[in-house]
Amino acid sequence: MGKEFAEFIDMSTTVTETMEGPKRHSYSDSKKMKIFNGEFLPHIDSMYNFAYRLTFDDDEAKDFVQETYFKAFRFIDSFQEGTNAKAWLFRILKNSFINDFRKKSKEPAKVDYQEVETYYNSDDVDEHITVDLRVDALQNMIGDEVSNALNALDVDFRTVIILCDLEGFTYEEMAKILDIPIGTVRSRLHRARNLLKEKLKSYAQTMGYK
Amino acid sequence: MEQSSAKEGCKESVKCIEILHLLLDNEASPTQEDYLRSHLDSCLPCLKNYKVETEIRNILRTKLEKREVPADLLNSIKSKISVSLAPEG
Repeated sequence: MGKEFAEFIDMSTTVTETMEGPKRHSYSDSKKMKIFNGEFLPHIDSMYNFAYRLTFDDDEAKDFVQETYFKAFRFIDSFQEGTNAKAWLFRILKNSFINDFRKKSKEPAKVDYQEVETYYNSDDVDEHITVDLRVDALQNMIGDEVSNALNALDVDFRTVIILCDLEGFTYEEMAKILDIPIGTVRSRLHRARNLLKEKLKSYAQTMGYK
Repeated sequence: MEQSSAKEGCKESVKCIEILHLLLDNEASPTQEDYLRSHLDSCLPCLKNYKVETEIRNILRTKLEKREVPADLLNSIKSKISVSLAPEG
């Protein structure tokens, strides 16, 4: 019980506060509907796009979004009205995605964020990769090329780019959504950006830019 | 420490790139921001990096196709939620 419940931390609190567990509210049914319609549902667009970029599949994305909203409603008493609903919902969706992926995967470790983290951060966190890219090459890229470059990244690297660059979450919000320290957010993003740049570079080369 | 034997000419490129990312992510401190802004006036390799990094963020925001939320999704969520609240009967 504790494990599942811990998923629904109050996003308004600091990371250390959340270790003590979420605060509980007792909203009336009409209050619940008000929060759900007014604070949760407006994020359906971002949620759906996030889910799609994780799964590359419309039906699965739909399922994850539905599941997230049902869970959010079920645990709405652990949400503090007026706080960061978007981050709270993204956190639930991300956790559902990971749990589902682990269940399905024959090799769970393959998608274990922590594993990937340890591997990539082993000894070259500050490694400086110089990828020579030109601004005009980037400007001339079409959506599919950008999309392919992003989609080619491992899911954890893709995730931080999506959260930061597409959804505009702060590092602190990302730390809560992903359950990792801010320092790890920073290094994972750094790494993700370098990898993305390499992919974009190879597209630029096939387009004839040098 | 890091002698920039790499082709980039900035001797502080590691530090500069780190701050550059923070700046573009709106996470840089005022001191870091001041440092980088004045550094960019005189360092061409870093200015080039700045432009490339800015453009990468720009194409991610503008060129990626947005998926339309399926028409029935919102309604199906709403109706299931109201059913769960409705008194049995």
